Amino acid sequence: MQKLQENINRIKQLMLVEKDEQLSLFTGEEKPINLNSEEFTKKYKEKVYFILRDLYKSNWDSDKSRGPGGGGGVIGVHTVFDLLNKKGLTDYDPEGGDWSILNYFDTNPQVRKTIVGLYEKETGNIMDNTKIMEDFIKWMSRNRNIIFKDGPILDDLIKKNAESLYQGELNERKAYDFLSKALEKLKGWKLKGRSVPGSKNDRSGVDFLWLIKTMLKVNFK
Amino acid sequence: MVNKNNVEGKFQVKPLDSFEKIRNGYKIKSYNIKSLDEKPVDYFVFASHEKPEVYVFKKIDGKYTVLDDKTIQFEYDPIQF
Repeated sequence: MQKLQENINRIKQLMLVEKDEQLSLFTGEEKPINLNSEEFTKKYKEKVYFILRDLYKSNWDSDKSRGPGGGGGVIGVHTVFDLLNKKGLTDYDPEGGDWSILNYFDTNPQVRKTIVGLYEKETGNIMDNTKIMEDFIKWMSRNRNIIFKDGPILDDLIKKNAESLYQGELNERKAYDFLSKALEKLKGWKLKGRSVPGSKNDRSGVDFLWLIKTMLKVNFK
Repeated sequence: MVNKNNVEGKFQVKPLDSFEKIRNGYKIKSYNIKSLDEKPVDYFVFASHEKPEVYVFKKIDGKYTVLDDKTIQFEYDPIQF
C-alpha cells in the first residue's frame, strides 16, 4: 500500500500535479466567477505560493515570522530593497529588504490580471466560471517555469508589481509624514514605524503602527 | 494593547483617488479595497503622494460600506487632528 502511494506521488510529481490537487474523472457544476471573486483569488493565491516554494527552494526563507501563515517566502532574489532603490528610493529602510517581490505576486491585481491574460490568449478561454478556473490553475502549474523563472514574462510581472510597490511606498510616506505632524500636537503618542516586508503585519495589511505610551485619553472628533 | 500602559493602533494606507461629501457621510474612491473590512486594523488612511490632503477614518464596524473594489462609504466623519 505504501509502495502504491509512493508511485502515485511520483507520477503526480512527473505530471507537475502537486499534492493539493485532486485528479478527478468528474467535474462539478460550473459556477460564475471573475478575477476578483473570493473563490478565484483564494485558489490562485494558494497555487502561486505553492509554485514559488517549489521553484525557489534554495532561496526560501527559514524565518517563520514571515510569509502567509508564517510559512516563509522567497528572499535574496528580485528583492524589495533593490527594486525600490533602482526606482530612486535610496533611503528605503534595509530591514526586511531581502524579501522578494515575488512574494507579492499572489495578491497583486496587475500580476494576477497579466497571468490570466496569458492563459486566455493561449487557450482562447475566458475566465468566467469555476471550470475555466480549474483549467487555469493546472495551466499555471504546468507553465510554472516559463512564468515564474527568469525570462521576459517574469520581467514584465516584476516591473508591474514594482510599480505598485513604489506607488504604495510613496503613499505610505505621505501618510506617515501627515500623521507624524499631527501627532506632534498629541502628548504621549508616537509612530512606531512601518511593518517589515513579509511580516505578519505586512501580510495582513497593517502598514504601520502608532503607540500611545501612557493611558492619556485622546478624543478624536 | 501591547502592555498595561501602552496602547497600539494599526493603520492601513490606501490610495486616495477622490473624496466626496455626500448627504449621509463620505464617499472615497481608492484602489483594491474589496477586502478592506477584513483587515485587522484600527484606522484606514487614504493618502496619495500626488494630493495634499490625507483622510484618516477610525474603523467602526457596521458604519462603513465597501461598495466595490474601488469605492468605500463612511457614515461618520474622518478624524480631525
